[in-house]
Amino acid sequence: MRRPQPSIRDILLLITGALTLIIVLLAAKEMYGNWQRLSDIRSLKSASALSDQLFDATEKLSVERDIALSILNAPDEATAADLRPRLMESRHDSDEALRAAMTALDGYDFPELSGLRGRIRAGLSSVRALRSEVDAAIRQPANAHRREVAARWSKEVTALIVETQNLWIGFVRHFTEIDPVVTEHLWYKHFLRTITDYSGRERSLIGQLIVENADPTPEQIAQLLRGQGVTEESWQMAQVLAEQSGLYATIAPYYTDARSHYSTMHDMIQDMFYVPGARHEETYPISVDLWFELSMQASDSLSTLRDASIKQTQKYAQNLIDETERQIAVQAAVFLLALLLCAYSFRVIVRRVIRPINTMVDALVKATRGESVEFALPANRGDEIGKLAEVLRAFQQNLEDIKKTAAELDRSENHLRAVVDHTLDGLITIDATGAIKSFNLACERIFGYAAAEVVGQNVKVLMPEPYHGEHDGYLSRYLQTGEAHIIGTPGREVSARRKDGSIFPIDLSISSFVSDDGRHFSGIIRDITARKEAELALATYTHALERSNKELDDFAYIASHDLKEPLRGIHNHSRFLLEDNTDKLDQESVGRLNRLVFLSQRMERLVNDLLYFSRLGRQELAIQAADLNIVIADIESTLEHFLGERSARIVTAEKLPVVTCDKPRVTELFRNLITNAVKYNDKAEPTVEIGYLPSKSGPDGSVRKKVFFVRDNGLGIQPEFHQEIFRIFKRLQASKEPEEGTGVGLTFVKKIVERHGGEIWLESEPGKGTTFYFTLEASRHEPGFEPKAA
Amino acid sequence: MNRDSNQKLRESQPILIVEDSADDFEATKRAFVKANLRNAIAHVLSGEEALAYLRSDTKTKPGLILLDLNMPGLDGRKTLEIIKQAPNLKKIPVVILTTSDDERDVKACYELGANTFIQKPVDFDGLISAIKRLKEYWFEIALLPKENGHD
Repeated sequence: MRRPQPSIRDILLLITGALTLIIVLLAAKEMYGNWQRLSDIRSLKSASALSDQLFDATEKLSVERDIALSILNAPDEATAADLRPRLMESRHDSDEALRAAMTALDGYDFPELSGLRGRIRAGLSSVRALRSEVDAAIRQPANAHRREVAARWSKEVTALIVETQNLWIGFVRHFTEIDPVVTEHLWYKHFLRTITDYSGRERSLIGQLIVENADPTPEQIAQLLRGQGVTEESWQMAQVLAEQSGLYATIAPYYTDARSHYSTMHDMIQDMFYVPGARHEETYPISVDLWFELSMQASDSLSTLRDASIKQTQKYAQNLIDETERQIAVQAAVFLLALLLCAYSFRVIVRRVIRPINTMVDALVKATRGESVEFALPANRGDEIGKLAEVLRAFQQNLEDIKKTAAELDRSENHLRAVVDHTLDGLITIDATGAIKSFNLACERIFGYAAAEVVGQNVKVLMPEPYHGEHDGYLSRYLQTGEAHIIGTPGREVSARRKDGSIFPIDLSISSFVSDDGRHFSGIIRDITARKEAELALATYTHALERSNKELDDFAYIASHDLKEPLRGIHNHSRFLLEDNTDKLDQESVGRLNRLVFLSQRMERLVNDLLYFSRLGRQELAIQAADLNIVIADIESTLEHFLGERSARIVTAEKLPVVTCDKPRVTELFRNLITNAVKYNDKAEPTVEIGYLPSKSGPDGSVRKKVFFVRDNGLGIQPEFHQEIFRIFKRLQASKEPEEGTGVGLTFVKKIVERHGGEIWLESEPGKGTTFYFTLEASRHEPGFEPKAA
Repeated sequence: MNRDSNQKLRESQPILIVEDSADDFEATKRAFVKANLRNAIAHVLSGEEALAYLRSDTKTKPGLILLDLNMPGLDGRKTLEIIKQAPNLKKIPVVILTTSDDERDVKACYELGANTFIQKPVDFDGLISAIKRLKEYWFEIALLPKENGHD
């Protein structure tokens, strides 16, 4: 049987299915992740702008704070009045910037944001409340209350700025998780803003020093130097970050420009304001307008740098968005493709594996329930399913065979039951305890019990003594030692007891067998009452026949002795008369006495023949192998004179077989037939033909095997005498010579043939000849001595 | 003992014929004459008489006994058995002379020690022939010395 080979196609199909399923899941996960990120990345694009708006807002707030503080701390009303429009303007700007930032922030939603936003709102409302107090304080002359408001204002606004910065930091931290590059951009901008911040402070401090035409205090110089250090550090950090994030390449000219502006400005004011006592003249060699002009130029170049950076950031973010969208598209395509593949695999698996298996399972379930099933099985498949289908088809064939066999078994069992029920012999089975297990119809008839009456009872109920009392012993002895009383002996004659108590002879055969529930015995019982009666009758007849034979025997003996003695007396006295009284007797008396002598001799022959005939029937045959060719040759030699006298000859037509027979009797048989054939012959040359035929039709027309014949060319016998001639003492011709026979020859022949179990008959044509046919059925032809054609 | 003296002894001894039938005795006697057998004949009619004769001290012991089988009283078989068991008689040759040619009779007689068996034929000539053969055997052939000269 060929082992089924799993097809490579199916293996690939399975692997593909599994892989595509994994791919589908991965693609779906990635796609979902990207989808989630997409909104965040989209927000990145505006994040840079928002970041700047937040910077803007803090910057505007710080401008408003500084202007308000300048007014509150102004040495005179004129200065304060000059600055007042600026205050209003900056207050408007900061409000606008904050509102814009807060509005932009509404587009974002992450956990940290709401807390920060809430704090900003709180700070903003405090600042707004303080604004009216500031306005009120400005309208009053400078006093302690003004200083106190200025201090509170400065503190509150600074707090709001810090909160705004915190909000920015939280914002940046959030975006770091989305994209580190954008965060670098944001931090880069943070440093730009720091530069702006410190520039602003420097601008206002120096502007104030110019306006007041005052020397900077040591604290102010320290503040300026710290600002300069931070600014310088921020420039460097911004550059590092720009380079790291890949931004620098695109914004390098703007960066260089902005930095050179700041350097130029610083070179101009370094010696004037950063060194104590540097003012050597009455007034600073720079007007406040020029200072602001320079400062604003530097600030503008920085703004330009910032705008360029924002554009770059937006561009970067857009790229990021595009890329993510492209990824999503690719992933979606992969997902769809994998989904399709997966569906295809699934469909193929369903069609090629699951559905055939389901079909087969359904068919099997039906078949198991015994329903007739047509298996619609996939054909011509070399794989396991095909093999399974083949096996199932074979199974179906087996199932049908089994059904057929079961039906046949059923029929056979019914047949057997019918045979058992209708068999003439009784059939009983018993178990090891002797309890009857089955009892067929014949048993019911034989014993007169119905099966239901005796099944379960001990089989002893069917037995007369001594079997009734001894049966338990037989059983236990057999089971322990295997010593059998009747078991295994075919046809043992025992007696049995009918329901009515009558005892009758049965022929019993018992055999033992072991079945699922232990050792059993089965008995076949034949009621032999009739046979026993017949046997008894036969014995009676045989006895009578034996007695009759004995009487015949005695008769023969009596005939031989008692009849012959007076006969001998008659004969002798006749002889003595003739001898003693020759001269006294006349011719006639001599003739009569001679006749008496002759008749007594003849009667002796008759008695002897009769005696011999009775012996032929009584004596056992002395069976031996006899070569008939030798037998005939012996006869020919014995009868040489008799044959020669009559110019007769014997022709043995073919080689005769060797037969086992009573050789002297068979010799006598042939001699009698040959003698007759020559004796009753009117031809000049009597011819006797002796032969053997393997088969020949008998007197009734049916075929006889192994037939011998003796044929002559003699007188022939009339059909009416064909039976007659075998009768004892029957002669067809009157005796011409005193030495003629007594007419017993053919009677002896017939008796000898019959003693050999054979049959004799003849065919004859008067005037032409007679053929005697006979068989010696009791004789057996010796192998190797079969007659051969002459 | 030479052949002639032996023959003379045989001829001098009587032949005992045990025969109940007068007819048969006459036939036998005549056959003896025809056969030229001239021994003295002692005739008894029964087995008992035969034994009495044989046991008698006064009677000459016969050289040959012809014994009929079928006789009333002590029959031939029984008589033969007694003769062949008697030490002083068993050497006397016994010829069974009987009508029966039944094989069982013949066999039984030989077993009992009969020396020969002659069937009484109906034909007288047959009887003469039988007696002639007996005479030849008994008085001529049976007396021939054996080749080595011992007897």
